[in-house]
Amino acid sequence: MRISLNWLKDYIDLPKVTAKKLAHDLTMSTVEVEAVIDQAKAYENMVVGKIKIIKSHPNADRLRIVMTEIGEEVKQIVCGGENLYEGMLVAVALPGAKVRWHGQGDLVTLEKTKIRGVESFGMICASTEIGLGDIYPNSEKEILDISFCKKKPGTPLAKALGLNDIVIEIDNKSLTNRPDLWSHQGIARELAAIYKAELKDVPRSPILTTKPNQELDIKIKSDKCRAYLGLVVNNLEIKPSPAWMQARLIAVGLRPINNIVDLTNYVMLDVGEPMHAFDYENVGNKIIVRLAKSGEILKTLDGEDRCLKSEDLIIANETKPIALAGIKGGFKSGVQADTKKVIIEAANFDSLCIRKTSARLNIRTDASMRHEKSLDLERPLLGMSRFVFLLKQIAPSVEISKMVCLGKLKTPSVSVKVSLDFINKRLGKDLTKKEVKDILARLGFKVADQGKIFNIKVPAWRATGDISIPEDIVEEVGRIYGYDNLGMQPLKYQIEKAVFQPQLIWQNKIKLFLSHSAGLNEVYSYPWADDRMLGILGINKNNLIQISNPPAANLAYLQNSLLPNLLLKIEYNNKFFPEFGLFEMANVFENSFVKKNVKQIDRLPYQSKNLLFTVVGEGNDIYFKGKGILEALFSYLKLSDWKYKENSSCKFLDQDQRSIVTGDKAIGYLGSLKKEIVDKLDLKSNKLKIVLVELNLDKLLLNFSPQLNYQLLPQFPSVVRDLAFELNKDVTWQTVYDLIVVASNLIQKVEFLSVYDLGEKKSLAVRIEYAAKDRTLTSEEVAVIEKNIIKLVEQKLKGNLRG
Amino acid sequence: MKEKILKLKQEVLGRLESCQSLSELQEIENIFFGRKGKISSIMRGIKNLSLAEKKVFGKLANETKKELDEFLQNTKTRLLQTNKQGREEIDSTLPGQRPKIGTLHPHTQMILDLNEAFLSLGFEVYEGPEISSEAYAFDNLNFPPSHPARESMDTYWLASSENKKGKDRLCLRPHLTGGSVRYMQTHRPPYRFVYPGRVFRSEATDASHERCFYQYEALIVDREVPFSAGRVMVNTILQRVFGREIKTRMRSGFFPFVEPGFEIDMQCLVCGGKGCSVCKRTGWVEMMPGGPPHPNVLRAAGVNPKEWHGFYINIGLDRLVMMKYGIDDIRLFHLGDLRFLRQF
Repeated sequence: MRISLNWLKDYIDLPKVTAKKLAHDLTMSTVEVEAVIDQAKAYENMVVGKIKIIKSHPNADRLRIVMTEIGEEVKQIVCGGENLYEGMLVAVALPGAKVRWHGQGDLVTLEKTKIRGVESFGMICASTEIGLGDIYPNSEKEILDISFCKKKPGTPLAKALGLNDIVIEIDNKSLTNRPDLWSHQGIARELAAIYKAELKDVPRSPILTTKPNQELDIKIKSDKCRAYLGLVVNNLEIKPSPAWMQARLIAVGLRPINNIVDLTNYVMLDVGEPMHAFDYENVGNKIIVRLAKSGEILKTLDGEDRCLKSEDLIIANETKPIALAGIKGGFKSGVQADTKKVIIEAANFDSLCIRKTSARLNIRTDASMRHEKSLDLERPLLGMSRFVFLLKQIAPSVEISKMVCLGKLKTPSVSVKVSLDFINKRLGKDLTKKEVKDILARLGFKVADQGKIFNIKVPAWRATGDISIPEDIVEEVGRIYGYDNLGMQPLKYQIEKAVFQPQLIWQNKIKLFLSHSAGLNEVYSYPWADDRMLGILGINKNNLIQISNPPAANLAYLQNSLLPNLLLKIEYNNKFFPEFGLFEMANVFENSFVKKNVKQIDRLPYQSKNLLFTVVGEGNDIYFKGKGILEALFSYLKLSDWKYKENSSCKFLDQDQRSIVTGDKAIGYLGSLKKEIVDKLDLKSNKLKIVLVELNLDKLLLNFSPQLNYQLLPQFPSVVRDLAFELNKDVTWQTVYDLIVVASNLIQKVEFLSVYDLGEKKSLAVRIEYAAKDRTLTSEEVAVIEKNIIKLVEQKLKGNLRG
Repeated sequence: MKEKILKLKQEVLGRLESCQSLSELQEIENIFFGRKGKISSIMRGIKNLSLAEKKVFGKLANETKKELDEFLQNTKTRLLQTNKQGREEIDSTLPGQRPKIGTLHPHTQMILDLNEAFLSLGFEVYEGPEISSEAYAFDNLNFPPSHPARESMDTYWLASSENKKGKDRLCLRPHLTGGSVRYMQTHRPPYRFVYPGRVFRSEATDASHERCFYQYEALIVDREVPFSAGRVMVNTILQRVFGREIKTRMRSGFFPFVEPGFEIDMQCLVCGGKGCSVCKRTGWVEMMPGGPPHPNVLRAAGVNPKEWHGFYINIGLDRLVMMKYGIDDIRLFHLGDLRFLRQF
C-alpha cells in the first residue's frame, strides 16, 4: 500500500524529520515500510516553459525552432510538435533531465545538441516522454499543453503539476492484522501516537437517513452483509476529477478515471471504507444483497463471465447480479461517460466470505483486500459522510438523496483489564501510569484507572479481533514506547541440573565419526521418494505414506528407507567421481500408527531416525570397505554386544547381505546392491559396486549403554607367528578363525592377513599371537600349539600349510 | 692379512673423505659397516686364524674398526652440518599426506555449533516428529480456522486424512512451532530448549525457495521473561554463526502464535548498516519472527498463561548458511553434489 505524505498532512502536522526517518519510525513501531519514493526525482531538470516565438526550421519541414521562456532566459529549442502556439505553457526538459524518446525504450539523459544543424537547448515534451501519459493522454506529434496550471515560466515542473509528493510504500503482509491502517487516516493516527502530534478530524457532512423507498429500495437477504448504506446522486456531470485529487491518486499508484470513480477510490484510501457507484439507469432502483445461486453467472467489470457458487455474496437488482460484493463491480453496471444518476454504496461484509470468493475466483482488488480484514461497523457511515462532503466540494450542483441505512452501525465494544505491573514485567521496564495512559489515549483507547488495574476500552477500529487480551495492550505500549528503548535485561533463571541428552550425543558422535574418521560425506535428501527408484528397488507403495498434494506426481510417497533418495545421489556423483562414500541420518516413515502419547492429542504414523551409509567404487574390496566402516563405528561407540546374522530378506541386496543384530533385535542390514539393480541405475560405469549399511538409530540407541572393560597390560612378552594355508575355496575365514581361536588358551589373538586365489584353491594367511599370563613362552611351547593348529586345519578343513 | 686390513682402511677412509651426501654415506655404510659389510667379513675371517695370528691381527682389526667407526661418525656430522647450510635434500613444498576426511553437511555443522552455544546456556535440544497434524500445525497455534496457510497451497497434507479435521488431519510439519507445544505438553515448566529441524511447504522452488528447508527454534518459558530475552537468544545465534557480535533490532510484527509479535532484523553484513541493494537500502535484513507465545498457545500446551510466559524465536537456517558462506542457490543443499559438499 502506498501512502502520500501530502495526503497525510490533511490529518497530522508531520514532524520535521526526513521521510527516511519517518519510514524508519513507522517500521519500528507499526508496519514495515519497504520504500520511500520521491516523486519529484523523476522531474529533475524539468521546468514550465512559455513559447514566445515559433520559427520554421531551415533544414526540416516538420521541425520548428521554438524560442521558449524558462524563467529569466529565453532558450532556443527544436521541436516537432504539431500543436504548438505562441503563449502556450509546455513542459521543458533541460539538459540533464531523463526522458523517454517518443514514450518508448529506456530513459535517456538529455544533452545540449544540434538537430539538423540547429542548436537545441533541451526538449519540449509530450506527456508520454516524461511518464505522464496515463494522466494526460495525448496523440502522436502532440506536445503536452500545461497552460491550465497557470504557473510562471521556470517553475519546476513537479511543483507546477503537483508532482512533488513523497510516497512511502508499506508491505501489505505487515498490515494483515490491522484493518484500521489501510487508509491515510489510519496511518496518520499511528504517526500522531508515535510523534505525540495532534490527529485532526475527518471533515464530513451529516446525512439524513430514510427507509427503503421508491427511489432506492435496498434489501439485505444474507447475514454475510452486516450493514448496507446507499444513497442516490442525481444531476451528475461525468468529467475528470480536480487536479489535486488526481495528483494524490497518481501519487499512490491509481489511475484517475472520472470524478465519481475517483471519489469512491479517494474515500477508500482516505478513511479505509471501500465505496462503490452503480449507474442508476442501468441498475434500476432495487438493490438486493444476497448469496449467489449455484451456477449463476456474473460478467464482471473486466468483461469476464464468473461462475458463482452459493457461498458467494453478490449485489443484485431484480433480474441479475450487478456486482461481486466487496470485490468487483459488474460489467456496465458502473459509471459510464453519459451517466447522470448513480447509487453510492458503503457496506460491511463478512470478511471470511469475501476472502473465500476472492481467492477462489482469483480476483484481488483494493476493496477486497480491505473487506477481507474485518472492517469495523462504524466505517461505512464514516465513508459515506466523507464521500458526501467531498462530492459537494467537487460537484456543488449535484442532488444528493437521503441515505437508506440497513444493518448494524456499531461494533460491539471490547474492554481489556490489565495492571501496570503486568505491562512492566513483560517490557522489563518501569513505566509510570501516566506514560502508559498517555500512549494508549493517543491510539484512541479509553483508559479507566481503577487503582491496581486499568480498565481499557478498545476503539471500534481495533475491536474486530485485533485487540482482546492483556498481551495486546503490552504490545501497544511497547511498540509506541519503542522496543529499541527497552534496553537489555539479563536472562534470569535457576539451573537445577546440567542438560544430559545421551541419544543426541551418540547421534552427533556417529556423524562425526563417519565424516571425520571414515571419510564419508554427509548428504541431505527429501523425505519423498522418486517413483523410479521405488520401482527399481521393488518397494511396495502400499507400505508407504502418500502425500495428497505432492510436490510432483512422481514424488507422492514418503520413504521408509533412506535408500531411494541416496541412489539418486549416487547416480549424480558418479558423473564426476569413480569412487566415493556418502551417509545420511534422517527420518523414515511407515504406513502404520504408533501408540498415542497420552499427553498429546493426535496419533501419528511410525517415524524413525535411520542412518544409511554407502561406499561406491569399482574395486573388489568395496564390500569390505563398507563392512569395515560399520565395524570401526561400533568399536568407536564401544558397542560390543552385536553380531551379523545370515539374511536374505532384502530383495535388492546380494548374497553377501547380513542383518545387524544388537542384543536380540535386528537393527539394520549390510550388503551390496544386486548387480541387476545396479544395471538399472543411470551410471557412468557398469562395473560399479555399491555397498550399503542402513541402521534404525532409534532401535540402536534405545537404552544404549556401551561398556568397555580395560584389559590388564601383558606382564610377559607375547610371540607372534604367521601361518599360510592352502584351502578349498568354500572354506570361509569365519570357520578358520573359529577353529584356531579355541585351539589353545595361550592364543590371545587371531588376525586375518590376506587371501588370494591359487586357481583350484586359495591361500589364506593368519597372524596368531601367543602369550601366557605367568611366564615367557618358549619357542618349543609355541611350536607345539602351531603343530596342533596345522593338524586341525588338515583334519577339519582339508587344508595344508603352505611352504 | 695386515695388508688386507690396511688396504680396506685406506679405501674406506678415502671414500668417507670424498663423500658429499648423506645418501652416499648410507651406501658406504651398507657396503663396509653393515652386518654383512666388508669390515665384518674381515672380522669374521680373524676367527679362522691361528691363536698367534689372532693376537696380532685381532688387535689391529679391532683398532682399525674403532678408527673407522669414529671417522664414519665424523663424516656424518660433517655432512649434516654442511647440509643445514646448503640445499635441502627433500622438496618440502610437496603436499603433506593428508588422512582421508569426509565432511558434514553445512547445516549439520551449524546446528552442532548452535546447539553447543545453547547447551552452555542450559537449554535442551528437542527433536519432534516430522509428520504432524493440523491440531499441532495450526489449531494449537492460534491460527484462525480460515487462515490461508491451512489450504493445500502451503502445507503438504497426507492422503487418506485430507478431508478430516484437527488431530486427524495429518501433514508434513510446515514449521517447528507446533512441535514446541508437544515438548511443553510432555515436560514441566520452566522451559529452555532449542529445536532444530526440517520443515515442508508446498511451493515452487527456485534459487531462494525450497519445499524442504530448515528452521532453528528457541523457546524460553519462565515466571519472568522480559522481551529482551529474545535479543539474548538472537545474539547468541548470530554471534555463533558469524563469529562476532552483530547488531540486531526488534520491531513490531504480526504472527498468530505470538503476542506481541516481533520482526527481528540484523544489521546488513554487506554494507554494515549504511544501506545497499541487499538490504533494500534500509541497512537491516529481516531475519526471524519472535515474541512471547500467545496465551492460547500456552493453554494448548497445558501451561497456565497467568503463571508462565516466555519468548520464542525461529530462524531460517538455510538463509543463515547461505549468508555465512555466500551461497546463492538454496537447492544446492539437497542436491548432494560432492563438489559442493566437500567444500565445507
